[in-house]
Amino acid sequence: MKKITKQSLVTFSLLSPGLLAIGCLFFYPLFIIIKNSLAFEEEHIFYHYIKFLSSSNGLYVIGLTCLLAFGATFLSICLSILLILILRRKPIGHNFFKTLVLAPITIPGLICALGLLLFWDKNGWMNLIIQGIINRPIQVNYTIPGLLIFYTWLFFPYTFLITFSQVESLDKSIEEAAEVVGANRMQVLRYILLPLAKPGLLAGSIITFMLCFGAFSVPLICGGDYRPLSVSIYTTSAIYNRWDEGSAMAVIMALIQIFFLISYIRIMKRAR
Amino acid sequence: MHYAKKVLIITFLLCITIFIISPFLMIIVTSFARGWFGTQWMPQEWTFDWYQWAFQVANIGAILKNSIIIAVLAIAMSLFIGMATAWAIARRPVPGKEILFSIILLPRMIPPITYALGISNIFYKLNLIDTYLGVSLAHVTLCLPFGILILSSTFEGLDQRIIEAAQVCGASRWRTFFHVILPLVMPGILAAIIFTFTTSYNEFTLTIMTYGPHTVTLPVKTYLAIGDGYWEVASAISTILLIPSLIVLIIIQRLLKPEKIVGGFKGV
Amino acid sequence: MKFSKILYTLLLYIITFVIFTTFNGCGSKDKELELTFIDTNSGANFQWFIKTKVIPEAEKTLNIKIHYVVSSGPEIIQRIKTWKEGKGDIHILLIKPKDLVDILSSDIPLETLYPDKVDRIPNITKCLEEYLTSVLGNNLNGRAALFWRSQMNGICNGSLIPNPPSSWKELYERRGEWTGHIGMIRPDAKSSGGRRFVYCFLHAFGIDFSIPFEELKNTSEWDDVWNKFKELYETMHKPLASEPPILFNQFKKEDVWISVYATDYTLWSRDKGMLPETTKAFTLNDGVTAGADAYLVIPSFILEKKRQAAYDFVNFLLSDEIQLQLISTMWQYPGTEIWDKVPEYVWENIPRWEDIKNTRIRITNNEAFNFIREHTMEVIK
Repeated sequence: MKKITKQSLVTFSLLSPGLLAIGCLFFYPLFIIIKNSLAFEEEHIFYHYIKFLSSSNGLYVIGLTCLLAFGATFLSICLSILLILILRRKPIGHNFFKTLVLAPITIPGLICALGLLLFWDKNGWMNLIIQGIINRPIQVNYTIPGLLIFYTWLFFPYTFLITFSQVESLDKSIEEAAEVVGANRMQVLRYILLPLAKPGLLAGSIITFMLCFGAFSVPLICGGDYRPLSVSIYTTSAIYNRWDEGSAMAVIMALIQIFFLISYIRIMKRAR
Repeated sequence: MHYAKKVLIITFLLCITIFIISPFLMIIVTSFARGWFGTQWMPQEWTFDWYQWAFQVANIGAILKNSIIIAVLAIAMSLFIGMATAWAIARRPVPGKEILFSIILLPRMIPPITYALGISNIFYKLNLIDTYLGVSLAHVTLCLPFGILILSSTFEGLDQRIIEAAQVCGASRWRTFFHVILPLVMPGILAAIIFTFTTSYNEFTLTIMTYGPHTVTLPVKTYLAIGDGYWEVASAISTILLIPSLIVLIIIQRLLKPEKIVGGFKGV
Repeated sequence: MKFSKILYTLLLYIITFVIFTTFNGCGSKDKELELTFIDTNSGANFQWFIKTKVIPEAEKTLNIKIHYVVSSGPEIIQRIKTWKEGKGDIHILLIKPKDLVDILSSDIPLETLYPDKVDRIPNITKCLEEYLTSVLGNNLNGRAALFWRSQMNGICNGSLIPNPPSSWKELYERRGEWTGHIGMIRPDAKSSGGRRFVYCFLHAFGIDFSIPFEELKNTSEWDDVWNKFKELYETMHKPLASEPPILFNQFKKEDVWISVYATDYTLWSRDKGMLPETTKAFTLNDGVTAGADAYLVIPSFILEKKRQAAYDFVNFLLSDEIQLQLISTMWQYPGTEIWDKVPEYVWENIPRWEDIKNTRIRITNNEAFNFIREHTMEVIK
């Protein structure tokens, strides 16, 4: 008995620095935000929450954030599936391609954002190509489709890499067996490949989703009139100096994120 | 038929490649361009002025120094704190390991902007704003969970029998540690260093809430340059910043599994 | 394996570099007299000007070393507040009028430069007395010197708009001609350009900003003029630029033809090849706001030796040589009255000072200005 207590004491002392750091740097700030967001002077303690959620702007901002996050996640999944179907057969340069998709991950988001703004601009190269085809430029920057493209560009590698590493490890013989039995390509895709890649897709897309939902630097400079939650929190607190309102928005954002995470994990468990 | 398909696939891959690479090419071209107006493929005139500007006026050298000092401090603190915790999680019986793990990973799951407000609030009271220690401490919030994640998976892979074998052969504790354990876990520690470095080097949200004129890091400088400078100069700064990122990219590609990095999302 | 060796070497280099730079910073103590010059006013253009032109010249002429740092006003004020006698480490400060008012209202002691130090800083007599005695309606009593006067003006692409409007009213009436090509920065941006745009517009249509805001917002005029502004907004290029570089970018793409923005910054960018060559400035005779004028102050709590050097430096900054460079290369109105020495070609680029000095608007109603910042985007939606 004595030995067990001693052992657990050692375990605890080993765990404590990490837990203490997380506590001080994460849970305590979170606590401060919750405290700041409560209005002790107003008639209602949740005054700032109610004010934000009941204003048309509040719901608009939340809707916009969700739209961007879901839209970009969906696009990332589609793009990843397409790429995986092609790269699975190991065409020329597939290794180069695997390095290439690391670029949006390792290069600071702001640089990527600047590049995207320049590239998709009215006189950027993309528009020059488009102009050659349809004879007039299209406005991409500062529009919702534009933001969706930017988000997908930035965050699809997460979905792609996780799913790809899983598909790579799959047993090729299952697929071959299906083909031998006489399944056509679509059937192989529908009944064999997708179900097998599903856990990877879910695990990868959840990360893409989390990042899209919390994206800050990109909408800050590429958003134009569209300001998702993260940017609204920043402007409200750091620029307008209304820290209590900003804190309330931050708590709402964290709660929505946790809600989505939990539902996602549930779906993932069911998928297994 | 087969040939047509091949062409189609190659065209598609080429398009995606262009889709990914062009923004960076565009930055590099802009950084050398003068008088690029209207709709033209290439600028009328080429110049090095914006680079000169980046070094002379925007002080890129000093800012690079800031970034590296902050990243090194953040890595050192994260690994120092994370080592013990990762060891305990990996190799000791801990009740509720899964819950503990999700608590540790929570800072990476919730958007950083939400708790960045709280951190800046606390740091203002402690006078940690605009100090190397303060900014790197803020980075630890994101680096630590990631460090623990990688280190604990490394420690888990450590074979107990090898350690025992070394002890049976008469190696002292220190000797076992330096000659047996350390070489085995070194790749994992290296991976942790690289990934925490990327996290800290790219971190923007927490930095913008805790930085000051003396602790401007590269992402913040890029933001400031995009926000109230010239895009030509911002492009020159960005081109310079691309170099360390590319080095990290090559390291990851050559030494580590790219899939691993997905846990280490950059500062969004 | 070979690659990881390269990596370890690289890591080693980085660590050595960090250690070296940290210790290097601690050990440097120059015997040469060194002044710290903090700049809280300059945009990218003046940072370039001061760093590459003014400082090297000053170091040569005055034989001192100047440490030039760019910072933010409120933050520096917080820092100066904690100083004790003789312990100050900022010797000269270039500051905006708004921050200067903040300094005056806190208890930070400043050196009185005019008229006490006229013998040390003879060039200060060339500044207009009214700028030295008061700032934004507060008593200054000569505790600062005026380095430059900044002015916003209309700017347009001359090849697309050969005959720009001469007043806000004309801009409003002719808005149909430029539908989709009038540019503005968002009023809630970090840059105050958009807020000033709205403020001038309201002023030009008869809003009296001397009335306290609480009363002002209930007047019928207030709503009328905002409706007018909404009509102008309808014809603007959308989305509004979130910061100045984006406005510039819109100019480059010829999406925006006309706007109201800081004259010096716009024209200097044109010279540097960052805006079309046909960009030009024009006056709006019913008033455009001043930009951020630049004041030079010397805090009192610094060493006597450094204070004397700081006087010399201020005198140098107000010398005709530097002041003429301000107007003829940076297109900024100088702080001193040296109009007769200004070469004629300058006035082909920027409006004459006589034309604007009487209609120059100073932002006095801060509540209204804050309202513009926080609510314009809602009002015009």
